[in-house]
Amino acid sequence: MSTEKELGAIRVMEALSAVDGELLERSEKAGAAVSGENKKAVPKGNRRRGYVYRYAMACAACLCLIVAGTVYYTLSHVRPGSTGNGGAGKKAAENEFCAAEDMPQAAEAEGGESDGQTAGGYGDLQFSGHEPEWLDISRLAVLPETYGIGEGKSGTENVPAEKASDELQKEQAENLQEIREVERQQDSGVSRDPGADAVVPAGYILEKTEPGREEPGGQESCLYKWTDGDLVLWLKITWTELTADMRFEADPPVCTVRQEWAEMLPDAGENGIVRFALLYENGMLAEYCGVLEKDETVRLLESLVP
Amino acid sequence: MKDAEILDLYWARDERAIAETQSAYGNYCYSIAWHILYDKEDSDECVNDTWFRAWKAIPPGRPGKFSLFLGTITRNLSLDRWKERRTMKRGGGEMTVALDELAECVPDVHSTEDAVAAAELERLLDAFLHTLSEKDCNVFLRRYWYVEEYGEIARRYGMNLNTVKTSLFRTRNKLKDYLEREGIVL
Repeated sequence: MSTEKELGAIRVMEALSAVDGELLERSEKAGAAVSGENKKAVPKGNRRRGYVYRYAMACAACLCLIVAGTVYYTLSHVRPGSTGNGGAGKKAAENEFCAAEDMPQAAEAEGGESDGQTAGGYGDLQFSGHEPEWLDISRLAVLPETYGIGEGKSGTENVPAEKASDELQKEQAENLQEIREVERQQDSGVSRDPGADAVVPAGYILEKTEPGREEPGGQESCLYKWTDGDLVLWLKITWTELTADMRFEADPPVCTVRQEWAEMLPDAGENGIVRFALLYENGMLAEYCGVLEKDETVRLLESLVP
Repeated sequence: MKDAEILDLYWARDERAIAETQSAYGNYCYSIAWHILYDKEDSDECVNDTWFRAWKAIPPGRPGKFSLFLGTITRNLSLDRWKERRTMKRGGGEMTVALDELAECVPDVHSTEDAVAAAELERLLDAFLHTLSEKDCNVFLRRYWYVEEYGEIARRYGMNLNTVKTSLFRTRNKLKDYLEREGIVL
């Protein structure tokens, strides 16, 4: 801060000493009234129950995600040719992991010389409503950790030993085909306009939608902008090749739905703005920029997939 | 003891007035000083000076709102002490942060117009605060009159931290525009 500005700030500070006493009194009374109201409005027991309820719902949601993720991962790693022992299954899982690892490592090598895009390079945010700088997904730093890799158990461990290997291979091939069919159906049912039904707080209206944007890595994205007349809420949806078992190093943070992402929402900066990105199971990356409260942000991001 | 009774002690030049004032408003004035100075010794000194100034001012004065009268004295003394310390070294605490934020409101334009007198600035600031909503005005005063931290303000009014920051950000922008429109040079 320059000396002139500091002196100006001090003058403003001193001039505030002569402010109308009624305004100061009002600020004192308002604080006392709010603390009294908060205590009266919600009985203590109900407040405690409310906290317990929300905590229980959050735990239940996390548990469901973990179970769903585990089932999906287990089914997706059933391979023909695996026998009853876990060794081949483990090798297949490791091969899968290596194949997946090559892709993010290649992306990481590509973006090795950071130009600021992967680490907090959002530039100055124009609070007046100018579009913020978004992530360069083609240069997103992917960490070589994969969710769910443990002892390499495969789904074939429990196959009875007496089943013929031919029948087993046939069964596994059918299972794999079924899984891929389900995935295709799921993908076809996913909306390419997820922001249209997004849950935003009352007062916000959708001011702008820009579908069909071309991204540097060749992906397609759609931009949404809401406003309440004063504050602006940005959401950018990009359809990527990324998978929810990846982990990312980025600023602002990029989480996946397999993580406890609601707990990882960052605190706002000095201007009250929060930046965050969430990767969904279907590869959709939602980048959020706004001033919503944490629970409003969670509701918004949860509403983007059916 | 009520304010009227304490003031009667001042008027009677009864030294119990100081003790009663300390008892009633000691913590209040210390809190104001502490938020600006972040130093126990200096804060204690400012509070003691406040009682001395009050003793000198009453009589002939008889303030309508005694807490405000004392709080204003403490605030002014604390600001003066802070400025003295600033010439020696730049300290920390919320005061420095609050000043950095207020510096954003100081217009960039340097004109050849005469600087507005301090009284005129006070009048304009008062008028500006009356244009704000009650919520924004309360938050602004808690931050820049009482120099409270964001968290304290949020807890006081049952608001979220982000909301407090956003409110202050918007109010500072409005103040900057207001001062520019009024042709204020600081």
